[in-house]
Amino acid sequence: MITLERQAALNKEISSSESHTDVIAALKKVAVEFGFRHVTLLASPDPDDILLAPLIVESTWSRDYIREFDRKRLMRRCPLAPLLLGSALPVSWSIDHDDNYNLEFDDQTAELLRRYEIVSSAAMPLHSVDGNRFIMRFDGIRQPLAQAELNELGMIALHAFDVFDRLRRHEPRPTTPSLTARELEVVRWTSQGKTSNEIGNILSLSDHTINAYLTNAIRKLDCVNRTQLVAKAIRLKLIA
Amino acid sequence: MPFWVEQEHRDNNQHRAIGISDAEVIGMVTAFRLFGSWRLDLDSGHIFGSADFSDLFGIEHSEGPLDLAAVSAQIHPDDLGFIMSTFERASVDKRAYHSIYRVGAEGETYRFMRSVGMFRDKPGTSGEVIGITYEFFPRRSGTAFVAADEQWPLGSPGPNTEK
Repeated sequence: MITLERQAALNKEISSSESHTDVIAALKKVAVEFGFRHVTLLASPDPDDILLAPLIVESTWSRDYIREFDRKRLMRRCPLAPLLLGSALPVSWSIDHDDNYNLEFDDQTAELLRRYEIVSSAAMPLHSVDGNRFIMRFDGIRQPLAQAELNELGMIALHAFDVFDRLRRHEPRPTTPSLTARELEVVRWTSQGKTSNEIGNILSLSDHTINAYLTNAIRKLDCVNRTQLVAKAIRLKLIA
Repeated sequence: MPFWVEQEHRDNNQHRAIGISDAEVIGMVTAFRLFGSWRLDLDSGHIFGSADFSDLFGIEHSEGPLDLAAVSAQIHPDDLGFIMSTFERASVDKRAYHSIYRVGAEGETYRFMRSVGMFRDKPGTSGEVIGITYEFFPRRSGTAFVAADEQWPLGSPGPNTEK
């Protein structure tokens, strides 16, 4: 298929996505169309990150690959993060080629990548509207992408991520169960370091009643202890 | 970017193998910066902090439970949600975590803090989360191992000249 026609066809499918599942299904087709086997969307790692699994948003990588990668702590040796953090351009590389942006994979990482057929890859740094950084990457055993293919795939990835991000921002947010004014008051005093007894004295109630208010609040906010209750109440801006 | 990372528990006794004690490590780690430590009691929801912890957040220090509302008021509004989410996860999942976030009163330049916390069993209770907090990019600070009158005040640009 002529490049522009292919790009238009894939973009049309991505544009018609109504859910994350649709976007991922379209991206799987994109991967196949470009001769890759896997597509992955992950949060961009920070220097402190040591595990891959928590970063992954969606991926067709096998669970065994991710587990082994993390078990061997290969994130610390991954040479990709600095490259992707330092540029906004899509990149393509192969562990079996010399033209690799000076990426150097250690033997253990290279062995794992070969075993799971993650030999050639293309990755695109992406930014969500709310300012978070992500990476979309395609992996397989094909030859490294030519510049024209990389340009095309980069535009498709940008389009797909835009749709994905828009869907993410419009996801319905769970409604917050409401606490009564008295429950809020008790949670607020707890957050300020007061014990049940002290709150009881302040509100002229027994500590038994205070504990009942707190237990109700814990149940309503689906918490397991007072620490979670206080933290959640602050996070949901129920108390200042 | 994930703001906190679960990690497997790691016993690090490497310093002992070369003849350095736990106390000496703590002394050096805490020497040139404010280094807060804190404890969250899961059953009561109360947080207890060291004097350095109160200093880091610019709140009034108390030997008893600290005012979590006052602590949270010092955290950058954009970071408060995930910090509280981290507390929630730490109190439920009973794992170790770390997070980096911005702290500062209105009108100040925000400072980056790093907190590391871990669950600790406390028999007869739901347990505790204990942790440390320090400035991620510490301001230029004093000479910790010299006499008090020769020290640079923490966070100051140079020696204390006010005698």
